[in-house]
Amino acid sequence: MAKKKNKEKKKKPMASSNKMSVKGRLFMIGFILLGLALLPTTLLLGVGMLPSISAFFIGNRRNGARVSTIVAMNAAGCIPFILKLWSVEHTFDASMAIVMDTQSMMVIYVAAAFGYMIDWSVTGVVSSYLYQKGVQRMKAIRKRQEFLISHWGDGIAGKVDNSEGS
Amino acid sequence: MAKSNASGNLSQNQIHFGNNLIISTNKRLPLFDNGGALAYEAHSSVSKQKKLIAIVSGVENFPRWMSVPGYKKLNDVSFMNLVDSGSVLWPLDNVEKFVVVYTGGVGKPLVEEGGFGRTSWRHPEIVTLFIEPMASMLKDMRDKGISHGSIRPSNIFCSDKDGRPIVLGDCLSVQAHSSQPALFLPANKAMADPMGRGFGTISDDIYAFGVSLFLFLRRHDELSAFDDEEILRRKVEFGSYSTLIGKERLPVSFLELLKGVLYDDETQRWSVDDIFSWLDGVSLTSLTLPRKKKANRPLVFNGKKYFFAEMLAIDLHHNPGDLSTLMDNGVLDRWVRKALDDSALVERYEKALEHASSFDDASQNNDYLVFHMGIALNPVLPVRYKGMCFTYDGMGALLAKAAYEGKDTDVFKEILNLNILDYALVAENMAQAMMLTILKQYDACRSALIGKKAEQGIERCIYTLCLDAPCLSPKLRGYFVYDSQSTVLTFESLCKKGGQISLMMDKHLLAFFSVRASNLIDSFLPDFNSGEKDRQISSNLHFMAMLQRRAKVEALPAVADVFVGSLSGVYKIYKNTKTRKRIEDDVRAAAKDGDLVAMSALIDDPDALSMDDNGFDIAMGEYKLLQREYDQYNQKLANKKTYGMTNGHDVAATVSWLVSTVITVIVMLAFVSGNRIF
Repeated sequence: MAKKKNKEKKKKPMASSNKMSVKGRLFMIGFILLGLALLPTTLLLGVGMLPSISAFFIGNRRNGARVSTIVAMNAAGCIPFILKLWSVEHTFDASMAIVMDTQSMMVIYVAAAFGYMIDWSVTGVVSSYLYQKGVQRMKAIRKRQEFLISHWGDGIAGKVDNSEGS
Repeated sequence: MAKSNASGNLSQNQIHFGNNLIISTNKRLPLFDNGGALAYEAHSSVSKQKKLIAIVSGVENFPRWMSVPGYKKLNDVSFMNLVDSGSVLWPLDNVEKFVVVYTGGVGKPLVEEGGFGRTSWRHPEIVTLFIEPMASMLKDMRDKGISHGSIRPSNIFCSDKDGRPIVLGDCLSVQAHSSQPALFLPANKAMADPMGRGFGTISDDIYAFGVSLFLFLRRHDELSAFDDEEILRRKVEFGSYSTLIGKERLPVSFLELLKGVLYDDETQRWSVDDIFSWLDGVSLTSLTLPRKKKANRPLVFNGKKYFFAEMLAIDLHHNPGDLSTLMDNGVLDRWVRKALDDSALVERYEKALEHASSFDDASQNNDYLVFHMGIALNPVLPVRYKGMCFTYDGMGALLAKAAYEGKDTDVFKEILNLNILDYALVAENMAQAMMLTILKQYDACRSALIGKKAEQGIERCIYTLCLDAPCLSPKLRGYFVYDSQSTVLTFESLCKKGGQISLMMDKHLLAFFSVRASNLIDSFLPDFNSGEKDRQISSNLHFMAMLQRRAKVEALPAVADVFVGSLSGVYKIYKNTKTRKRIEDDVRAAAKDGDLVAMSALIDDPDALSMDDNGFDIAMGEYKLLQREYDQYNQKLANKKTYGMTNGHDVAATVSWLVSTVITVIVMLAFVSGNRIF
């Protein structure tokens, strides 16, 4: 009995973490309501942000930084057309016109692709830089260790010093 | 006690001694010889007018250097004035000898050496000129706790110019009693080998004074008809007083004094206070001469008839086989129990039988049997064992002499292990507390014999039992090493000659200092016994440095040079190579100055060692941290493709957001300004 109670106790926090919090739920409801209220914009973003959505689901979900990179550039590509939509007439037709416009969608998707490129190139450069830095650090460590041994003998590394005497 | 050397502007036959003394090696003063110690003329380098007497004694005489401080404390003017003492390289033999220098001008001896049969000194005022000064000297010696051991007419001097009635001669250059003719010793000491007569007591000095007094008082010379052995036998048979006085007619008052001071039983012999009471005219209880128990029938031993157990005891060693036969057929037993009929003797005899039979193979060790029977028949006699004869405190000097002469010392180990000294001691009439102290010494010797440590062994027994033995280490042969100064100067001399190693302390030296100056060496003994060469070298250096400091010898460059060559392993105690190098350089610099003290301090500097240890701990910690970090890097960098990707994505996100923000701002500005991009 006691074991069962313990299991139940342990399960409770797991269940609560899976469930959305009240704030989250309110935010989600508000977001859905806003999306319904601004349906033309929602349509535009829904189609325009497809690269980001696909990146979110296709890629490694734990690697949120990569999605973030694409989302940022994808969003930057959508901004001019949202402004255009808002400035002309905020209607479903206007939104559809933009979505159906190849040039517009090309701009949005190229921006997203640019996000992909930023992620690929910057990550490559940074990781390469960090790798070299790591190698350099290892060399520095070895050098420092050799210096310490030269000053204090092999005993410092836990070895018996037989270099002199006897 | 300064060592000295031959040098400079002295003639070929002169040597320096101490700070300002010069000894003439070609000017003998045979009247002041004391046994094997020979006297030479000496003078002060400051004033040649001041004549001195230098008595030179080799190691074989075991001069009493331990008694020098006690002698210096003697106040009585009738002692020879001690000027200086110490060891010196004696050019005639090219070995070091111990020299005792006294003030000269003490006149001539009352009787020439060996002239005891013809004593010429017949002074009518013998009380004031001889007895009173002698009593005063004996009192002084008793108060200062030293004995003379060489009181005899040939060692008592008289000068018309001196002002002192008599002057008592040297006693420091030889072992107590070793130079004393048998006549001047009680039977138990006289029978012992010269070196086996023990440390000497004030009671023995009183006895010697009594014999000297008798020689001055007598009018007839009956003693010259007898040799030493006959006098000895008579002393045992009739007692010393009866043997000496014989038919001599002496004043009654002197007879009382002589009877008191010549009494054979040491416990009843007159003391110094009794002599003073006699001088004051106090009538003391007259001592009755002991009568020896005579057997109602003789015992035939070795072809001679014996009526007295005491006399038989003297001769037992002449034929141990006959003794064994007499015991086996019960003749001795019947003679002791029935013919002598002495309950005390029977009790001693039974104990002796018990002790002798306790020996595993008594039948093959007749000497052990002779010893026990000798003690039983005459408990006063000294120990006689395997050709040696010695008192309970005399074996040490015999052992030391045997060791010095390179003879086998197994017989001495046997004596200790068979408790022979213990039995001899118990036979003495001695206060129990004092007896226990000596028994503890014997126990310590037995422990040393089975001990495996460097300072133990027969070597330790030598220095425990012979207080005046200098260090008898084979490497010090030809030198007289007895204190810190002589030790360091001797090693300096040896190192100059070459062939020395830094492990200077051998078993003899360790045992010597362990007994004589345990406070100096005890703290180093664990290192000496460690078996690690470097620890032993470092402890040798530390100990030699301590001796140098004590001896106040400024420079020992040759000794330092020997150490410098073998310290490479010792420096390892310092882990930091720079510190090690610095210490090594400093030690070399100190060695050039011959400063062992500085060298010792450098190789074991507590502050430097503490800093070194702390530094090592810190460095070791750093090394471990670095190693951990290295291992982590090594693990992460193993997969080059994935390394740094997370950080790369993060940076890319940041860059992307920045670009996005810039684009958004530009678009919005363009939108606000009415310039449409799309």
